[in-house]
Amino acid sequence: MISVIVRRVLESLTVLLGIAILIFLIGEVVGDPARLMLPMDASQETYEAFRRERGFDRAIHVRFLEYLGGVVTLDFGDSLRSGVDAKSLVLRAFVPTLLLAFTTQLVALLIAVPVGTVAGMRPNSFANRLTSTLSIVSISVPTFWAGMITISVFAVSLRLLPTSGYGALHFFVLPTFALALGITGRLAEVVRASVQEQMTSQYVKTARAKGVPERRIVFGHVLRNAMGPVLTVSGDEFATLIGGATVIEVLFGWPGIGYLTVGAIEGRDLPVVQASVMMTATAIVGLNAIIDACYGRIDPRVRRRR
Amino acid sequence: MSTVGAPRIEVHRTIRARLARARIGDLAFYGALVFLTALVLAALTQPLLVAMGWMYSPEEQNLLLRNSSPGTAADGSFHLLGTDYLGRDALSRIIRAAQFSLAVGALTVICSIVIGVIIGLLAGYYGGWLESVFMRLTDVFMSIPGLLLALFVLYVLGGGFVNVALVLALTRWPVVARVTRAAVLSLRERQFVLAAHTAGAGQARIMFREILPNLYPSIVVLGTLEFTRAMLSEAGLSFLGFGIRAPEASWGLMLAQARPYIDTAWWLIVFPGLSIMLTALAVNSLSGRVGMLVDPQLRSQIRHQSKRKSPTAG
Repeated sequence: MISVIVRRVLESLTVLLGIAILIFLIGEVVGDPARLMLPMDASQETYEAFRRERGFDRAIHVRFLEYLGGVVTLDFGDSLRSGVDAKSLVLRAFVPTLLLAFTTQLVALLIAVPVGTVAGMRPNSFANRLTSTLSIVSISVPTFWAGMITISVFAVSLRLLPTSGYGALHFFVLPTFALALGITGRLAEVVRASVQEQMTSQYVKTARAKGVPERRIVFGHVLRNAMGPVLTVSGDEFATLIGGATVIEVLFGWPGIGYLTVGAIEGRDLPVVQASVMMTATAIVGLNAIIDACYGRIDPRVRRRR
Repeated sequence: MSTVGAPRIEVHRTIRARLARARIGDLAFYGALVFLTALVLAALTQPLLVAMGWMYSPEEQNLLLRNSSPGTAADGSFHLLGTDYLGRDALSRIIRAAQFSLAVGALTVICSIVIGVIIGLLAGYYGGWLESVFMRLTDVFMSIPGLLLALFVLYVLGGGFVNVALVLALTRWPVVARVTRAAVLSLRERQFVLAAHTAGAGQARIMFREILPNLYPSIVVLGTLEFTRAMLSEAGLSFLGFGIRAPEASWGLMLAQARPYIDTAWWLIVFPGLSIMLTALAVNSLSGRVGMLVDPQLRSQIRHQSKRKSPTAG
C-alpha cells in the first residue's frame, strides 16, 4: 500500500515538473518575457533596461533554475500592476472559483443522478430517449450564451436577480445555472448509459430470480457499480471548473481564477498569468490523485488489482 | 402476411411512406444533415451570393439602420434577422462567421487527431518506456485547464484564425492520444493481429494496415464530438477577445459585440448563439451514424450479409 502511494506521489511530481517546464517554454522561450510584460509601444531603450533589470538577458539554464526554485517555493514574483505577490492574488481568486465549482457540481449531480437512473432502469422507454435527446441539446448550448440569455430575461427584463457580481446566494443563481446546464446533460447521459449496462448484467438477473425487489436491486447493487464512469466524468468536469469557468466568470464579473487570468493577460502581467496556470494545474494534479484513491473505495476490484 | 409482403416493399420506396415510418432519430439525422449542408453551402458560396446581389455584404454598413429589428424593411432594403450596431446585415454576418467557426473546428480536429493518433498508436503498440513518456506527457497537458492554456499561448503568440486552431489542438490532442492508446491495447492482442504477425507482416504494416483501420470508427465519433468542442471553445475565446478579432466576424465575437445592447436588441444575442447551438447539435446528432459508416468490421458484416441474401449479386 505504501509503495503504491509513493509511486503515485512520484508520478504526480513528474507531471508537475513537466507542467513547470511547459509553462517556462511557452512564456520564456517561445515568447520574449520582456516584450510580454512591457506595453506594446515600449521603446528599445526601455526594453533593454527592463531586460537587464529583470535579468532576462542571462543564460537560459540559469533563468530556468531560478524559475524552478521560484515554482517550488511558490514565489512567482510580484504582480506588475498591483505590486502584490502573484501567489496571494491567485490564492485569493481560488475561493470564488471553488465556491462556484462546488455549487455547480452539486446541482448537476442532484439532477443528473436521479434522472439518469430512472431513464437507465427503463431501456426503450420514452423517459430514456428523452434523457438522451435533452442531454445532446444541453451539451450543444454555449455556456456563456445561456448566461447572456438568462441575464437578459431574469436580470434585465424581470429584475429578479443581479446581472453580475459576487456575493450572497442570489449572485450564484445565474452563473450556476449557465455552467450546470451542459454538465448536467453530460452526467445524466453517463449515468443513464452506465445504469442501463448494469441492469443487463448477471448479478441483476440472479437477484431478480431470488425475488429481490427492484428498488433494492437498484439502490443496493446497480447504483454502486454504475458510479465508476460517473466519478471519472464528474472529476473531469470539476477539474475544468477549478480552472475557472473563464468565460462565465468574465461575463458575470466573478472574481475567480479565470477572471484574474484574463485581466492579467490584458494588463500584460506575466507573473500572475504563470502563477495562475501553474497553481491551478497543481490543484488539478492533486484532485486527480484523490479521484484515483476514490476508485479503490467504490470498486473493490481496483483495490485488489493493486 | 407473406402474400402482401412484396407490394408493401414497393410502397415503402416512396418518400412519403418512408417519412411516415421514420423514427424521431431518423428525422433528427436528416434534419441535421440538411442543416449542415445548407450552412456549409451558404458559407462557401457567400462571396458569389454577395456578388450576384442576392445577399448583403457582411461588411456593408448602414448607420441609418443601426440595431434594426428582424424583418425591417426600409428604403428598399430588407434585413431578415435585423442589423447590428453598425447597421450590418445580421444574417450575412452570421454566414461570414460560419466560415471561421467551421474552419477553426475542422483544422483543430485534423491537427489534434494527427498528433493524438500517432502518439497513441506508438504508445499503445510499443509499450515500455516510450509509453510511459508519452502518457506522462498527456498527463501534463491534461492537468492544465484547456482554456487557461489556450489563453496563455494566445497571449504569447497573438490571436488569429490559424493560431486559434493550433492552440485548441494543443489542448485537445492528449484526449485523442488516450482514446487511441486504449483501443490499440485491446486490438494488439486480437486474433487478426497475431495472425498478421505469424504471416510475417512488419511492425509498420501491422500498425497502419491492421490496427489503424479498426480505429477509424472511434476516431471519427471522437472527432465529431471534438469538432463541436473546438467550435464552442473558439466562440468562448473570441467572446473574450482572444480569438477571431474585429473587423472579422465570429459567432462568439458577435455575442461580445452585442453585450452592450442586451436590453434593447435581443436578436443580436439570440441568432448568433442559436447558430452555434444548432451547428453543435447537428454535428453531435450525426456523430454516431458517421462512426458506423467507417467501421471496417461492420462493413464486412454488411457485405457478407448481402452476399448471403442475394447470391446472384456478385
